[in-house]
Amino acid sequence: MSEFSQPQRQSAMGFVIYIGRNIRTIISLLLSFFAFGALQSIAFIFIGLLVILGVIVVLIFSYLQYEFFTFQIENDELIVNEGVVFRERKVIPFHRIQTVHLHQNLLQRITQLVGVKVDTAGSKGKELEIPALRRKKAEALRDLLREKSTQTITDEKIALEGQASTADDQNQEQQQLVKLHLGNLFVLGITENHLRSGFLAMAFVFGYFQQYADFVQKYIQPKVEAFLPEGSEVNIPLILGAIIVFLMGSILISMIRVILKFYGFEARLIENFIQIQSGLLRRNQYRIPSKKVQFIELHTNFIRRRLGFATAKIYQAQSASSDTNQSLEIPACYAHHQQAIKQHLYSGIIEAPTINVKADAIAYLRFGALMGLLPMPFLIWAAIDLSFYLYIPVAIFYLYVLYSSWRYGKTVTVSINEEMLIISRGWLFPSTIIIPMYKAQSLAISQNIFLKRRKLAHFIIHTASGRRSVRFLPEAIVYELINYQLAKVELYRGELM
Amino acid sequence: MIENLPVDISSLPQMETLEYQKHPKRIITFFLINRTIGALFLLIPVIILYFTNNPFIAAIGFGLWILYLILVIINIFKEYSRRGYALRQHDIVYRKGWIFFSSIVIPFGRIQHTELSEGPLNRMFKLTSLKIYTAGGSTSDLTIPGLEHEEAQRLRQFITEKSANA
Repeated sequence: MSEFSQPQRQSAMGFVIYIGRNIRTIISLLLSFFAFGALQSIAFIFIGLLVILGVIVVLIFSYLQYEFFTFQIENDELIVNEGVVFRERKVIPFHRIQTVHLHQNLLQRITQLVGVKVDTAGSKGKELEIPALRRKKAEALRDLLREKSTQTITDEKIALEGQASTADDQNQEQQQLVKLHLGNLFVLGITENHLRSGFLAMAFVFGYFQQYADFVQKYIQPKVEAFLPEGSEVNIPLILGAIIVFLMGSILISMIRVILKFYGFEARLIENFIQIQSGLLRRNQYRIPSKKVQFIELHTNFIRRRLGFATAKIYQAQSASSDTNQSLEIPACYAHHQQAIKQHLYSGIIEAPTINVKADAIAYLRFGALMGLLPMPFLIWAAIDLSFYLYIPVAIFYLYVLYSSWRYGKTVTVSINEEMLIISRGWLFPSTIIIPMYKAQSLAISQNIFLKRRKLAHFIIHTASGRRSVRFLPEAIVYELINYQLAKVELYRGELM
Repeated sequence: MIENLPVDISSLPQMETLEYQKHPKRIITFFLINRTIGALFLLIPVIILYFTNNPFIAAIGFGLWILYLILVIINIFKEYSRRGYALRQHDIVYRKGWIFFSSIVIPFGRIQHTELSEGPLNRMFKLTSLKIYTAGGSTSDLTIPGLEHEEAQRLRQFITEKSANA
């Protein structure tokens, strides 16, 4: 009998974890209280009372949450009872378990607790989390669940038995793939796409402060305006200054993001798994069974390409609800790492592509020209309103759109060999997608009447981890691609996920 | 042992030269009503603009809406002869669209489950929709919107058998 056969609570420190979570959910509410209070000049005593009340509610609620959460293993099912107001009983049969992974956020690390997340195939809301277990217990539970969930699938059993005969090789098969040191992290951070980080951060900040717009307008804006020069004339030094601040901020944000995400990153190739762990404040450990991997994508940018590395994104089949982390990243993959991943996932079936097809670059140029016109009315209207000189950046912007779409179009290539479909594209940000053809769920062609006249079409492949499409290929080629892949799908007799 | 012979591309079955099964003729009327109702929702922002003292922009919006509706209607008539499905030994092909043509193939081996459904409008026209689900998410699923009830059931039966054996 295992240690989990009785209904049991989590580690007593779990109370603290729940407090942390509840505070995080109400912090936004508290902030808006403060903003509202400051705006309406309501007595601070009143706000203080509210805060104290809030704290008491959080404490009681957290304790009840901890108290009511029990889990157990019974008859090949994982059972969790939880909920304070609405009591809920979640039952997950072992054979439905897809992945089990451990994670730790800052609070969990301080309290030395580990969260266990169980993900099932299919239906929404069918994953569950046990947020506060002692490390030993969490690992024992994970191992037990993994073991049980594979036992129930007979096909997998055969695969495991098949490997038992080569047990001697198994120990050597555990291979460290990528391990990142601080130096690597620095290189990664400095070569991030800073513009994207900057805009993401800006969007986040704007989104967040939108809630407190009134407060900002009343208190902060007058102070900021005092610093700004008079009049709304276009002020070149001011714009330059803003751009410099924006760039510096973006680089800083990229650095912080990379360090938070990839601190202590380690990827290992084990038997038929890929194991990844990383994170500074929130530590995650994932194990992806190789057969669940649907396809991989290698992303890089013009600087990283010079340095010779790319980020490998691994897409796996997952339940519908958790599409947020459908892909796992392995940053800083040099050529030999990429080779090792491919070898590990698609052992033996990766070869040099035999057929390469280029997309129509002129079609991309035409498309870019059309799309670039869309924001034009707005930009021109802004130029009329503000300053005649704004036409210059507008024109430069349009020329850039034209040039970049043409360069992009020239890079779009579809290659196939016996088993693989390889899509590579991107001018400044090249990426390569490698999909085993038999992983296709369905295939499609689409074209509009203008493309039909030019005998061009888009090719779309759907996998269990999302769709990928290639635009502006010759129509005949798309039909051939689909026919060829269908033949591959129908020949394949192995497992998909 | 899995056999894995090289495939000669020119000998592969071709999906572009298939005989497609058309929908019953009354699907045109069905689409006319269905799409017009859909388009009416687009009229809401125009109405709001009109009542918030932007009659000029509202007029432009209304003009664009009429244009859109005309295109939609032409598309329904034009695409009728193209819209249809074809069954083959290992997969089902469905194609549609005139302005935006598309054609999707789902191998029977990848079909998760199927569903017959009849909305209120469907029932008025005695049409049945067949939905085919794959593991590829909502974009990969296929809806064949208007079939005779008999036909839909036979088709579903055929697909279920095929996908169980694939």
